[in-house]
Amino acid sequence: MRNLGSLKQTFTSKTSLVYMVLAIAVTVFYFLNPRSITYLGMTLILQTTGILGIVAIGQTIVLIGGSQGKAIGVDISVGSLIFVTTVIACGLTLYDVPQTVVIILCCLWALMIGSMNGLLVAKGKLHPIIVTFAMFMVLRGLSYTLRYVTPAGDVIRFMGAGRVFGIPVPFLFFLSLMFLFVFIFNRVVFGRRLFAKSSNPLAARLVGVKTEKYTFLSYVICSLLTGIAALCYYGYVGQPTLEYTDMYTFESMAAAILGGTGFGTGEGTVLGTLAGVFFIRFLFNLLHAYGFGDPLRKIVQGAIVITVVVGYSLIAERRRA
Amino acid sequence: MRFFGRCMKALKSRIPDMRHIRKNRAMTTWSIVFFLFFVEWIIFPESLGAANLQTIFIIAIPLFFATLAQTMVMIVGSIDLSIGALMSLTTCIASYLLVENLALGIATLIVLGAVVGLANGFLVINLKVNPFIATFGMMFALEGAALTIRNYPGGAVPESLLGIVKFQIYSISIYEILILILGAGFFWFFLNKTSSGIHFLATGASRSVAKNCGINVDLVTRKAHLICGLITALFAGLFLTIRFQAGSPLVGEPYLLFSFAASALGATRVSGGDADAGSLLGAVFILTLIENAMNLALIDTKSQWIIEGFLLLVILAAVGSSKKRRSG
Repeated sequence: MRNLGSLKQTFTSKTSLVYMVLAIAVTVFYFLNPRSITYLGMTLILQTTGILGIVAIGQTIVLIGGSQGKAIGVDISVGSLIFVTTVIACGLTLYDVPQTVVIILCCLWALMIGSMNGLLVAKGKLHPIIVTFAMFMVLRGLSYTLRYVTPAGDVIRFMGAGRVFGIPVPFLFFLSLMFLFVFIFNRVVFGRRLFAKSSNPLAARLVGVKTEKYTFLSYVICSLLTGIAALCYYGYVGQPTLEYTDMYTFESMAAAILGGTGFGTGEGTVLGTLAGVFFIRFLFNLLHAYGFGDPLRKIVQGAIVITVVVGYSLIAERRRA
Repeated sequence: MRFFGRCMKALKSRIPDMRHIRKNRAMTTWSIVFFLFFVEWIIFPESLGAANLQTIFIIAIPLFFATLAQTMVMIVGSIDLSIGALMSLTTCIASYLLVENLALGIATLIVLGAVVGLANGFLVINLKVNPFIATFGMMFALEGAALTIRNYPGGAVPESLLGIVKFQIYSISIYEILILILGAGFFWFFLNKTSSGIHFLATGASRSVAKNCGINVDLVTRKAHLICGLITALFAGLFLTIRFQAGSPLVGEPYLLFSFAASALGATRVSGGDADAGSLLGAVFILTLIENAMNLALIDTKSQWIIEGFLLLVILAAVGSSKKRRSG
C-alpha cells in the first residue's frame, strides 16, 4: 500500500488519459503520414523531442511549484534564454575557451537568470507571468545585440547530435532527467514538499515547509535545465535562429499542460509531460509535412492546445459531479 | 518641555492627514511624471516643442487603452495575454477597411473586439479553462490570423482620422488630451460611481465572498473580458493604426508587456480587486516619457527593449519590496 501511495505522482488517472490521447494521435498521424514512423523519422523526432523534453521538465516544475499567491507559476523566458545561452556558447567557442569551461559558464549563466526570476517571484512577491515576461524582453533585446556564429566543438556537438546505440544523446539526457525527477517527486523530501506547496501553500507553510524556498528553487531548476537544453540545441543546430527558439516557450508550456500538469493544484507528472512532448513533436512534424505555413501552424497549435485543455476540464468536472 | 510635548502631540494629530496624502497613489505617480518630464526637458530642450508633445500623446493613447483593457480583466482576477495580438490584427484589418469605408471599418472592429472578448469569456467561464492558457492560445490564433491577412506592413489610414491627432491649438493637441481625459474619467466613474464597478472589484477581491453576496461572478468575468476585447480592438488597435498610419502583423506584440508594466506601476493589484484611474494614467505617461526620451537620445529599438525590460524589473522589485514593507 505504501508503494501505491507514493507512486501517485507517477501515474494518475490523468496520466493514463494523456497516454490514451497520445496513442490515438500517433495512430492518426501514422495514417496521415506513414513516413514519420520509420526508423529515420523516429530518430529525427527523438533528437528534437529530447531538447524540447528537457525544457518541458523544467516548465513542469515551474507550473507545479512556481505559483505565487493566487497567480499561477510559469516561465515565459525559456525561449529567449535558449537563444541567448546558445549565442554566449558561440562567443566563448570563438575565443577558444575549453569546452568544459563553456558548458560550466553556460550553466552558471542560466542559473543566474533563474535565480533572478526566482528572487523576484519568491521574495518580491510579484506575478510570475510579468517577471518572466520582462526577463523575456531583456533576453530578446540582448539576443539582437550579441551576434556570434561559430560551429560547436566536439563535446557540445556530441551532446546535441551524437548517438549512443543509435539513440540520440539529447533524448538520453531527457530520459535520464525524467527518471531522476520521477525519483525526486516520489522518494525525495524535496519533491514531496514541492507538491505540498503546490496543492496548498498556506497549509504547507503551517506545517513548516519553507514555501518561498521552493518557489525560488523551481525557477532555478527550470532555467538550469533550459541552459542544458540550449547546449544540446547548439550542438544539434550549430547556429541559433530566433524563430525556432522562441517556439520553445509555447511548446514546453503546451507539452506540460497537455501532460496533465495543473496550474499550482498539486497535479502534474513528468511521465505525463513525456507524452505531451511527443504529442507536440508529432504534431509539429505532421504540420510541416503538409506544408503548413508559420501563421496557419500557429493557429492550429493554439486551437489544439485549447481543445485538449477544455477536454481535461470537462472530464474533471464530470468526475467531480 | 511641555511646549515641545504639545508640539509633538499637534504634529502627531496631523499625521493621519499626511498618511492620507501618501495613500493618494495618483499623486505619487504624477509627481514622478512631472519629475521625468522636467529631467527630459533639461536634457532635450526640444522635447517641449509642438511636434514632440504631439508625439508623446500619440505614443500614450494606444498604451493607455491597452493598459485600461488589461486592467479591466485584472480587476476581476483574470488575465488577458491576447491583447497584443488583437491589436496587431486590428491594425491589419483597419488598414484595409478604414480607407474604403470608415463606418464599415469601425463596425468591423467593434465586431472583432466583441467576438474575441466573448470567446475569451466563454473559454474561461463556460469551459473552465485557466484564463492564462485560454488567452495564450487565443494570442497564437490571432497572431496567425494577422500574419495571414497581412504578411508585411502596409495599408493606409484616412486623412479624417489623422486629423484627430494632428489638430493643435497653440501646440496643444486638444483632441488627444480630451481622449485621454475622457478615457480615464470614464474608468474612474465606472470604478467609483457605478454598481457594476463595485461588482467588478468585489469579484476580484474574493470570488467566493462576492458570490455569497449575490453577485453573478461568472457574468461579471464574462463582461470584463468583453469590455477588454472592445477597448483593445476599438481604441487601442485603432489608435495604434493611426500612430503608424499602416497595419503590421507584429506591431502590437510589445503592448502586452507594456500593459502589464503600466498596470503594475499604476497601482493595479494584479491578483484583482484594486485599481486607480489617476495612477493608471500617470503610469502610462511614465512609460511614454521613458520611451520618448530614448527616442530623442536616438537609442535603437533593440537596445530599448533591454533598457525597458530592466527598468520594468527594477520598478517591479521596488513595488514588490514596498508592498512587503506595508504589509509586514
